[in-house]
Amino acid sequence: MKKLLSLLVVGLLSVSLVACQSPATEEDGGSTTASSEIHVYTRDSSSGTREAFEDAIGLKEGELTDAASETSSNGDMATKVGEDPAGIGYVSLSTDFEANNVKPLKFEGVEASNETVLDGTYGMQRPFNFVTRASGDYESDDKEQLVAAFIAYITESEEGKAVIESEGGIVDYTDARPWAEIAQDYPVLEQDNSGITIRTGGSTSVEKAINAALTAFQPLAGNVQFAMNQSGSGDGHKRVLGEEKDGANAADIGFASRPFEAEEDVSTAMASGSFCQDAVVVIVEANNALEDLTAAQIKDIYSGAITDFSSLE
Amino acid sequence: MNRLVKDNILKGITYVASALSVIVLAAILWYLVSNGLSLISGDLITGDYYATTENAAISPDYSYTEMETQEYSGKGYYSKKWGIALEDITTAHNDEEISVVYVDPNSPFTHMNSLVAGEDGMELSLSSGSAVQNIYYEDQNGETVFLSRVQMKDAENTIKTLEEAEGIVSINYESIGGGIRGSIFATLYLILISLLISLPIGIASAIYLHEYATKNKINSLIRQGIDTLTGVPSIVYGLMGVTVLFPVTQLVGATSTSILLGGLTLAIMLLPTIIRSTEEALIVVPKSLRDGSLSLGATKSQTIFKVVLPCAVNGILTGVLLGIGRVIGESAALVYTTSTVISDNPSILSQGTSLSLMIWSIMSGEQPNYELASAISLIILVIVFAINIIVKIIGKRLAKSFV
Amino acid sequence: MLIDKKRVKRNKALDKFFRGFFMAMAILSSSFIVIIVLFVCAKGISPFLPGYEYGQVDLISFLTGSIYRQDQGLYGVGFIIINTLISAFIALLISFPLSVLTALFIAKIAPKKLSAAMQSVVELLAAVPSVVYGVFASGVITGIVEWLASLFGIVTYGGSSLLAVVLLLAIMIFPTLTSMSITAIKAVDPNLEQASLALGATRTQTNFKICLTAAKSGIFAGAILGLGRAYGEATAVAMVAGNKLFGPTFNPFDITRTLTSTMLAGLKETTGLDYDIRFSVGLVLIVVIFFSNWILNIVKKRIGRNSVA
Repeated sequence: MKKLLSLLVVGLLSVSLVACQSPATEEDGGSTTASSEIHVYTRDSSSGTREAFEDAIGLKEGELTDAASETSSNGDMATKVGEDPAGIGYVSLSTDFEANNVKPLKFEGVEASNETVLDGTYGMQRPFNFVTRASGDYESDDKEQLVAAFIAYITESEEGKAVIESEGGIVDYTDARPWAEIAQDYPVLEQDNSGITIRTGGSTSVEKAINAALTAFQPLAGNVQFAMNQSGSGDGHKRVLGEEKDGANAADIGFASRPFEAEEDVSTAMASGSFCQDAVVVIVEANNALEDLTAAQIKDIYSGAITDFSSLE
Repeated sequence: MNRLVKDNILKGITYVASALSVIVLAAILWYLVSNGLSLISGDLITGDYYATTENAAISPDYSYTEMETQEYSGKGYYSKKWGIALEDITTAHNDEEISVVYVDPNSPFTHMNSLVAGEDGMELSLSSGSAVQNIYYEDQNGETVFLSRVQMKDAENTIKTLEEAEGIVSINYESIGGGIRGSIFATLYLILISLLISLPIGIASAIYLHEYATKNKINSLIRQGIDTLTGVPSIVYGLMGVTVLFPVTQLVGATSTSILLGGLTLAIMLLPTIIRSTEEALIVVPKSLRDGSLSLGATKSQTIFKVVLPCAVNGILTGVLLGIGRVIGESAALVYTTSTVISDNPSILSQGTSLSLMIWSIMSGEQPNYELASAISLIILVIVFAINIIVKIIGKRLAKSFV
Repeated sequence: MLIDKKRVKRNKALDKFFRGFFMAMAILSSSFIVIIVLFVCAKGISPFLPGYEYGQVDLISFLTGSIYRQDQGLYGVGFIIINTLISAFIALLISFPLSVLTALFIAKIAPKKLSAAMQSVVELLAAVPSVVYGVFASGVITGIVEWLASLFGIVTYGGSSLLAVVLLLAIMIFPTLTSMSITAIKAVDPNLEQASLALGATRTQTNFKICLTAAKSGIFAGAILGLGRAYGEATAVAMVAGNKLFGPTFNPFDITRTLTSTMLAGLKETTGLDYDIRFSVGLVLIVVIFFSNWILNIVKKRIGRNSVA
């Protein structure tokens, strides 16, 4: 028994030696003795938020410091930074900062708000996009009409935009029209549609806003039913136009919290575009003295050039 | 004397170890109760998840001049003009809503017709407990103004705006959803389906492995395989389920991921647990019992069904309990097989989420809601406790009727 | 006599039928293993084959690498394997003695009522969903770790650390270990115990020296199950692991990364190589579990032999 155990330990150690072969520059990236050392938090590389964030600060793919800790969701990031006095991270503007004990920082001297995002002065922002199935690829014509009507509701009507806004989306009312006017183009709204179910898929970031919009749309469209199955931006296109469009998880409208990529061809869709904007905000723990960071400073922090809060002052 | 001291020390260690497990359970319970208990209510357990929305216009028959609304001095902000009182609430899902607390019987909001196509102008009356979403009202110039949820801000501001209005055109309001009844049923369905399939297969496999199989390479390979299967992360089962088992559920009419698909996937996931604990229970049955039965002229299958299995019933039930625990606790495998769509009236072929999956959705969402997650966890624990008791009672009955 | 013969015949047929039925079921359950292994293999091996559509990955650097970064195209799971082994084994080391002792207490020492109550406690713990343990860990265990670290003057990543993972896993596998041990201890032949008592051993000596030794097989089966759970636990571990990009992690207060937390990271939003590589990680996990089971089984046999001698 003892022999076996010692064999095990030796085996473990030898494997670990093999694993250490590649020459990683390992300064002590983890625990620190000085509280002024920065703990960098990031999202996993498939996150739409991370993409928007890295684009905005000019951090190229692969430049991120090794010392970063990966978090699994927007809320996870906020919670962890809120618990770590040395943490820095980035989240969506719709996050509840106070509840998570974090402080949003200004970016290039501009505070993130609906106004600064819409007029473009706040640099770190991203669109929330949708894509529908191709024309004629619906279970019925009525359903196709209803999907088109819903898209018009969230992208063109004052009422629809208001619902999206109430759930934290940043919308532009410039071209918005009253719903009553738009509804006239969709005669399908005048009938009982309670037998039809609109299915959505894709990004989880849009879930709350789209759920609210669908709930509000329901009585306007003859009690149309809906089923939301949000699993991630990557599935938005796949389940509507891509390989899974006729599979178990097929959807009528797909969403992404980032622009659709080149290989996600949306040209065959009945409709696609963005329905609101979101801002990405850099956060630190609430008691941190930091107020404002420039893109260059954030880039230095995330690339590992700056590892100490004291060098930011 | 020395021996006694030693004995007591050893005994003491077992006491300490057991105390530790109680402390851990107590800590978990305390955490869940302190976070979640306040959210648990009848509405949460029995209510619908989806809000029902109504879009209604004031009935043309209603006359503002003939109807006199009363004074009201309860909670919330009251508008005597429209006979309605509103207050700000925060729902279990951490949503801020403007909720109706009182409606005067003579209020225009009690004389409305539905605007929803297909409901044919059904008569509606706003009742307390609904959440106001938006209102169309007439301003001083007789023009219709849209008051959105964002513009309302809070109950006080809404009442102030309405006091200045000349007339109410229509209102959009909804019930406060967020109930988890559908998810409770979906969880029970999942337990039933997965046990119905995995129990017979698992117990039969264990009997074969222990009672029939001779010691050879193939059998030991099967056993090793089953051990390995225990450690396959559940998320892999989920992906396997949606690719391999989905065609099977299509045969019985499933068009999308379904509770049936989730149940089948979980059934496979449970097999190793059931096989293992059944085998352990079979090992316990003394060989002399089997020999006795056989020498009395009983056949092998008679011996298994009448002698071995009844003796092993308690061990098998341990496996069942472990299995139920695993089904109730599973989230990763279900993400892909039942989907995260919440269903208020789940059926076997419909999508739906189990309670744990709901917790996972809540925790991995944009804003993790520890309170609601704790509340649902508490409900899960109560269900588990109830099932434990039921299974034990069944076990006692079975053991009695067999012996 | 004639009737008896018929009966014998029927019984024999029944016997054969049941034998066939049980065998068919065993084959069915093992075929699931084959399906899953085939499925995971097909997906998991594909990135290492030439002509892989998203660009072939080098198998050697995959298995021995000490950096895991999708953005740099570096997929090394060597350090993750070590992290996984370390966290699971330490968790087992903590949990194993505690659970065996608790099982002994419940099965042999405690008065009847207390024993029943304790058994319910263990069963309840077993049924707590893993995601709830995760909620508990990120709410309570991380706080304890932070406090411990502050005693050493260390600032942790909000408590997310190797230590938090170990403590979480130790708690999570405890009920599995305990309930399997209880079954095994209760199953010990009472004749053995009586013989021991008759020979003058005290109750406690009998409990420790006879019951535990005789129940080894079952206790070890529990350890195998428990270790399997520790390796495979995903959602809860991911909540407190912190997902470090390189390693291995030996400092208990530093963040870590396990095979499962790697598989779970960003699983929701991926296609292509990042998606397929998770199956490779899953495959590695299955192999790790297979080897550790194999070693444990050898240990199990050894112990069995020693006690006989």
